[in-house]
Amino acid sequence: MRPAYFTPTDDGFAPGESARSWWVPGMIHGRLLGGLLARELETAHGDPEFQFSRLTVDMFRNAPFEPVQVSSVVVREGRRIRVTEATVTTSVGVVARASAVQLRRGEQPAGPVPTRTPVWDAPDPATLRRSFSEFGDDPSRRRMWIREKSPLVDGETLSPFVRVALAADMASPLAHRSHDELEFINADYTLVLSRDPVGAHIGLESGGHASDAGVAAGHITMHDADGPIGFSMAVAVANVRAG
Amino acid sequence: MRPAFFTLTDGRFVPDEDARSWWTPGMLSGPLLGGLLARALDTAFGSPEFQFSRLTVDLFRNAPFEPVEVSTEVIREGRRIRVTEAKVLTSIGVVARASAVQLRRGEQPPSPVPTRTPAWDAPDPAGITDPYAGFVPDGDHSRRGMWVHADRPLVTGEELTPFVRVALAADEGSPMAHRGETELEFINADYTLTLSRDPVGEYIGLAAGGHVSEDGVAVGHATVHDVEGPIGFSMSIAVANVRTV
Repeated sequence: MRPAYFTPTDDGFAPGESARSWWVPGMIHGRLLGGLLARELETAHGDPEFQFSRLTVDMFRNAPFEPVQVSSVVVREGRRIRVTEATVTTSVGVVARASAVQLRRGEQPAGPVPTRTPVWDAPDPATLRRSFSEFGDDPSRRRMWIREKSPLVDGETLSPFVRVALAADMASPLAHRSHDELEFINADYTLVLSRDPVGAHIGLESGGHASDAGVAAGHITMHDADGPIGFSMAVAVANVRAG
Repeated sequence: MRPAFFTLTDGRFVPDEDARSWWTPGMLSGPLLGGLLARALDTAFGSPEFQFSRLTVDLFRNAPFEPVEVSTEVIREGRRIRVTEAKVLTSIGVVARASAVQLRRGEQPPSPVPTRTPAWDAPDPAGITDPYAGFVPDGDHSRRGMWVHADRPLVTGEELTPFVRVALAADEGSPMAHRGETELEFINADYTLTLSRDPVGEYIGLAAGGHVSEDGVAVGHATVHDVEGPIGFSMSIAVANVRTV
């Protein structure tokens, strides 16, 4: 097992070396802040009768590479819906936040819904050894299996929801990368789920991208070994990698 | 032009009869609350240098059919990003809220991004008078689409801005994605609109993108178009529901 991205301390979650930002090495990776937010929301507000059906992660400020604090509140508690919010705080203030919508699981309506989620002709993930395995040769439908090998927090096992939340940030590079360069940095991601994933592998397939004047919007389809489970969408702004 | 959905009187938006919910006639229409939230954010924080690139509308409580108030606040003001929030308040408390991300417009990176937004098999919208003109290419409901053309103002005496126009249309992403061949059996609890640019013209197009559901919980998305091409996406989550009329 690899070392965890964060270790709990009296000052909050202390980042390990593997938690550095891909964009700016002096910062914490945004995807991991999304993971901490999902973990907090699930720990504080998870419930077997409710499905986390949306998670929106806003990453609006660079997070200095230091311990972070995470907290959450309930925005709305209804019979069929629970809306919650969480924030990541550092010495510079709030750097990221998330909102989540949980919907009560119940009877599936009788009428089938016609849809056309793309064919998922993916290799068997059991044959793959890397954490991030991109496959296929059509860049307009980039596909990937992700298997997160590090715990998010030392001493904890990744839950299905945290596992898929960590993977959902890949909407941005999958949807917004050109043939060889990623020239957009995402400011958010929004994950929607009809059910939690089963197994350790999350499959992703780029769905669409639109951009104009350095502002991009895009989405991907999320899979597990049993089929499609939801979608992830990200907005991004033109950016150049530092370092 | 038909009367507006709301009239602003003493700081409150008074609903017209046509602002009733499609699901429950004693309530206010959810998409119109999304429109009021977008309007408040656009009025307070809209700026030509920033693109409203995401709008997330949470519709978490039935809104009684009565005048409503809308408030806004800034969550984060950065050099390249502005994050804001708005709420709809009624006599029973907050019934809906929205968060928005604005990104600074700038240089488009030189390298093209390979993509495959689905073919947009839409009829020419010119001359369409139905405000919600759905179509089903080749009878294939999995590719259904719609042109939305607002036939009235949201608020009396105001023109719809491009952002409010597309925010009002974006809620239609839910029926596009979640309707069966004949019945809509899921009610959406939210919608999230992303935009690379504002729409031009008065017609907003939506194309069904994908739907997944299990145990009465559904998620789906639609591609958002204007007459010049795709401009973003609309995603929504929904729960099994029966219409009460």
